[in-house]
Amino acid sequence: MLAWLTPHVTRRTMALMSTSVGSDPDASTLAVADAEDLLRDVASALKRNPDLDLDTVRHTLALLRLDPLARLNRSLLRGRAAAAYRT
Amino acid sequence: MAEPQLLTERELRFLRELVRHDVRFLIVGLSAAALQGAPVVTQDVNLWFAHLDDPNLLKALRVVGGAYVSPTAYTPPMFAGEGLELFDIVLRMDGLNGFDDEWAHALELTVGDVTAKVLPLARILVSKRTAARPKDRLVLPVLEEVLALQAARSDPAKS
Repeated sequence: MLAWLTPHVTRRTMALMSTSVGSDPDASTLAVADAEDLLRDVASALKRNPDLDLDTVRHTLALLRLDPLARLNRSLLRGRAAAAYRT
Repeated sequence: MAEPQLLTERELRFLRELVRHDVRFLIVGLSAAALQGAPVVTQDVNLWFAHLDDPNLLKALRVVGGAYVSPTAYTPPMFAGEGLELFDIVLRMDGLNGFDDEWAHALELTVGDVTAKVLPLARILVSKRTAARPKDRLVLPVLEEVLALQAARSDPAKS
């Protein structure tokens, strides 16, 4: 259960980071690698359970890469923004 | 760019003091679901306490400069004080077992530097299904999807 909730840096991202020691990692290269890794996870989850909604799976797996405080803060930020928009 | 901190240090301090004073509470509702990765939005953090008359709760409140405001015929119990507006007090959870039973099966999650007990997603779903207010029904599909995703990812037979 807890493994599911533990944020992680992907193996591919870690590999890219380790190869760039001594030089500035190219942020966009890391971003693309992370996105590719996320999409692989999304594809894997949908393969196991094709009935799941693509967007929910993608957003959930992206949130699980953050630590719990960041997840909660995003939820509160959007909740407050929605409330401000309504009033 | 730094992530905006909505759960501020002052609010985290309250959670920290609750834990430090051994106050038994659970983070419940959509904030608990968000902590577990559900892509949902919420405006507050709901806390379910074992005992609202716990003297340690009052001590924790005093440390952060807050106070407990008793319910009236027209208003629910609430916390007063800067940084405490974010927290809502939950008196009962529809469809769930008693506090002690839910506490025994709760998750422990680290929020910032505070490790607190959180109602598991499956139990949040039960409470939302039972409460069945319009705002509860709206989030059921997302919570069900996330729970199914969680199950699929933790089931080795499906990998």
